[in-house]
Amino acid sequence: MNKLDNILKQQMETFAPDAPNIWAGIEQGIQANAAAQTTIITKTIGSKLVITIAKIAAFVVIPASVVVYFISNEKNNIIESPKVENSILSSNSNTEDIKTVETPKIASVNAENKAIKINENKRAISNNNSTSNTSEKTVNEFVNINKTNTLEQIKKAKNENVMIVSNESNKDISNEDIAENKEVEMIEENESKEDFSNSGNEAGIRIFPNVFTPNNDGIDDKYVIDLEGEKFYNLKIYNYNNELVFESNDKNNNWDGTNYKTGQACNSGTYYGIFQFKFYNEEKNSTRMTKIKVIR
Amino acid sequence: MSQNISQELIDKCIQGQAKAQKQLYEFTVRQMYGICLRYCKNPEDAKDIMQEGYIRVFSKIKQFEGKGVLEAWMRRIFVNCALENIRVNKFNTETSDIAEEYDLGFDNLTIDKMSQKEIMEIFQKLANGYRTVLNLFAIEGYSHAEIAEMLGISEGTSKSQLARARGAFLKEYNKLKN
Repeated sequence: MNKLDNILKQQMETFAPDAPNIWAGIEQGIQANAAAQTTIITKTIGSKLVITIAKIAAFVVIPASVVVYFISNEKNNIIESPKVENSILSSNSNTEDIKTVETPKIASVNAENKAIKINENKRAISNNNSTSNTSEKTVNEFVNINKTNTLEQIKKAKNENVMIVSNESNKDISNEDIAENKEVEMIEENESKEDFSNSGNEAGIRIFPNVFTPNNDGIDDKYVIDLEGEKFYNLKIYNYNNELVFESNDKNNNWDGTNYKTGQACNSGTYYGIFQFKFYNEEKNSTRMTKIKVIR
Repeated sequence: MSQNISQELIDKCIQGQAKAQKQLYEFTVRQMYGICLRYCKNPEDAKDIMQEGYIRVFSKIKQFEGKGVLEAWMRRIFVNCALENIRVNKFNTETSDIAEEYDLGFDNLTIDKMSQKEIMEIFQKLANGYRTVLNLFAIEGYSHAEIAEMLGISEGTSKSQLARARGAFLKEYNKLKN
């Protein structure tokens, strides 16, 4: 380390000038982030519902076309196949119109549906190759009824789903509101009691140093926390860049100012000690954190 | 940081409690502003970086998971924000006109004490690249390998940048004193 570097480090590590108050901007940023996340969630719910609509539609359309085929077969034993195909396809294209407004995923579902339907129709055509066109009217009537039914059902399903979507988003918002209110209440209740600073029984700790001079002069060459009556002891030392340089579970194994992984001497500067401990009369661990200034 | 940050406060920030977030901000704001100022040419930029940094801290605080010290973890986020900002301003394209002679004999100089104010005054006059490398190497304590990775430059470039940065700093220091 160069002399200038040392001066810069010593002076500027602790540089903490008066700062402008920018909390309002930060708060807005946090809220904007949260809002963006909520939109993503609602969008996924939305697209799931849309897929469900498509599936329902598929279940309605396929049986409908099969029914058309069988009924016309039974009643008249005659079908004009191209017309059936056309009408079913047209009902198909109608549903497609409704659905393509949504997402690309539905388009693929649609395509599958269509493929299935076309297969069905082909079968119908091959089965009825020999039939004549006597009862065109009846068939068309059936087809029309079926078509409108299907459309109605799809519309109905769609409406229901739209309602579900809006219900859900309402629920989301109201839940959030409630949660927020509760939180605010809780915080307000607790506000007077807590200050978020470190707590715990510190009566047994006699000295918890924050300066350390590992220069082999016989004074303070090891970092020692002076305490008595502990049944749990864990000290971790981190450097300025959050790298663990020392850890001990024994109060007699003390830090000598070297990095325990590399064995290299740690530079002068700011380090952090995180100390977890428990005394014999205690149930829970306590934690204390301190900055340690290493001076060589 | 005048106050120690308790695990309880961190937990409440993870839950997104606004009061706790504000308290963490208040505990750390001076320290973090110091970092932002160190990397910037002016207080306006520092303010922007600080805002971005805090928003990032609160959205990422779940990932902290007690990995070391929160203050150090936060500092890394702010440093990254500052570096991104400098990168946007293309510090790599800067060319240096600082004479190499300032690199030599530097340790013989009698600068035992410099105030934070003096250092900041000089920092704000330095080219972005010089200020950045002095910050990362001298103050933050990163190695040349780490700096090379952070800035997307080679280790050799990092070393020569640092030598030149020291020279440039001294030049400005002399101007200030004479």
